[in-house]
Amino acid sequence: MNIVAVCACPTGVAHTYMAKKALEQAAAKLGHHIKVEAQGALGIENEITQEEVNQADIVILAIEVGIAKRERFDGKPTVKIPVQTAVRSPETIIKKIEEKLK
Amino acid sequence: MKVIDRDLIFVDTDFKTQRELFEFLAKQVSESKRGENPEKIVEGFYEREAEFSTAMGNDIAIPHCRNEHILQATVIVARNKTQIEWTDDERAKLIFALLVPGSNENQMHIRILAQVAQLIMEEDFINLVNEAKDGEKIYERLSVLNNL
Repeated sequence: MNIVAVCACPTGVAHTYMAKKALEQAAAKLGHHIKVEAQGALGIENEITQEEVNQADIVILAIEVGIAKRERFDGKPTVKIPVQTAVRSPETIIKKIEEKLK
Repeated sequence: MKVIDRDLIFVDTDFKTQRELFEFLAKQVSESKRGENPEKIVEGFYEREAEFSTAMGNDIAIPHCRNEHILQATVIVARNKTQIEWTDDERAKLIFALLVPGSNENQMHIRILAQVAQLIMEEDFINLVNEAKDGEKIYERLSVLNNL
């Protein structure tokens, strides 16, 4: 699968970056391609382009707050999850998406 | 002042409750002049927990406080002897507290905190914290991040 994801939490310091790391680790382990954008206290990092969105099979939004440039994902299959779910059980989420997209 | 300081890494602490821990953390912050008004720092921790719990499984919690009473971005590590009740169904033993100034943020410091957060996701690092005989080894691994 080709996944794009955005992480954003209220403080924007810890969970945003932990969720990013967790999703990257899980996707690599399960053999998927992923690009994870962090929207935190450092602004937008590793920004996802419209072209990358267009090529993605699924969008994961691990967010607790409103995010910038959400319109990029309009019309794409999107899974919205709490950011702590991405931190705690990233593999479960990706496996569920695998099932759904089969 | 560095974000990570040897004097702020504690192994085998003996806190029984979350409040005891938060009060200790706030005291460390104010005594080291990294913040002021310890009661407000304790409040900051609780406010953040109310948004959603910072326990993250595997006995790890990353309480944080971000308000104007924090003057210097800081990481405090505490490895408690026993599990602390975090919420009704969560426990924590390894504590990584992140203190973030509410204003005049130093972007480099935020970057360091973000790096610490990512390190906590690495199994090798957590094993190191669990197994370290004293704080020195933990400090060695973390302090690399001071010089990003």
